Amino acid sequence: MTYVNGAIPSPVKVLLLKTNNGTGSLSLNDIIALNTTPILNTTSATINSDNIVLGPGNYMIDAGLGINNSANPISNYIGFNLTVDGVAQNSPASTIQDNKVGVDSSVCALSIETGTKTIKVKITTVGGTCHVEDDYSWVKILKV
Amino acid sequence: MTFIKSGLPQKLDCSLNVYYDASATIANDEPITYASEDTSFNKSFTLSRSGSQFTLPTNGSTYFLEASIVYWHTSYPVINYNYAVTCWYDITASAYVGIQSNICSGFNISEGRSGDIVADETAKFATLGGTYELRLKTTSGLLTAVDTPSGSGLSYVNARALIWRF
Repeated sequence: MTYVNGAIPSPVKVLLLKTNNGTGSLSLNDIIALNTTPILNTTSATINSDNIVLGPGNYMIDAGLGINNSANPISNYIGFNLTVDGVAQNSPASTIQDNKVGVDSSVCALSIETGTKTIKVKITTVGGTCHVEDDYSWVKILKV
Repeated sequence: MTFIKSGLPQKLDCSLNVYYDASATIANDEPITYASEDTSFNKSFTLSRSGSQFTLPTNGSTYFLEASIVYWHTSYPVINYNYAVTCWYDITASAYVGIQSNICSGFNISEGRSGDIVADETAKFATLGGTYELRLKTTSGLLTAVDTPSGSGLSYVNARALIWRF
């Protein structure tokens, strides 16, 4: 007979990558390009040029974008959001500086029973002219 | 033979070290030392630390490093539109690694007025092991310290370095 005493520790897998969007000006509905060479990936996620494909598991995902606003914090800003299979998630983020009410990173929790889901980072608002700074921009995924 | 009718109960296997009391020589590329560790929440793990450097053993664990500093200057209430950039640094490879942070001085609206960058205030890195330190990569303006001096009051933010072990 086998006894299971208490819960089994479940290791957390990690994916961290930078964006690879370059210095092109951002437009509404842009999908952010990703660096397909991650800083670390111990998950089984597949990283494509503008999306990440996740298999079954439980995930906590966050993405942040740093921007260059040409020293004009009032007019030049973006809003962005994680999408799962094209559906915007419930915690969008913003770089806006004037009367800011948003947060710096977009977050979602995701549970996949079977099959796969595709994650993207989408620009949802644009004010003025700005571009992504890849050294300040990331997608982080924790998987259990 | 053992039958398991449904999924076994699972718990997250992770530990967290929290460091505080940050200090640094104020110049570009200088290391930041977190002098103290908070172990009060009983989820910390043993980690070799020497000055500013954290040595993470390569033993199958995954580590996630994140840290923030304070842009402290003594010219308040003068608002200055300046900033500091921090990043994790790989001692062995002599290279900056991970996601940079940008910390502005003054109010939120100050961010990006100098240096043009609007970004998160936390430097991030993930690794399977090695020796790393947080560095003050770039500074501008009136920065005099990377943490709030003791006795400044509870309303001020404080610098922290977090090392997660998964």
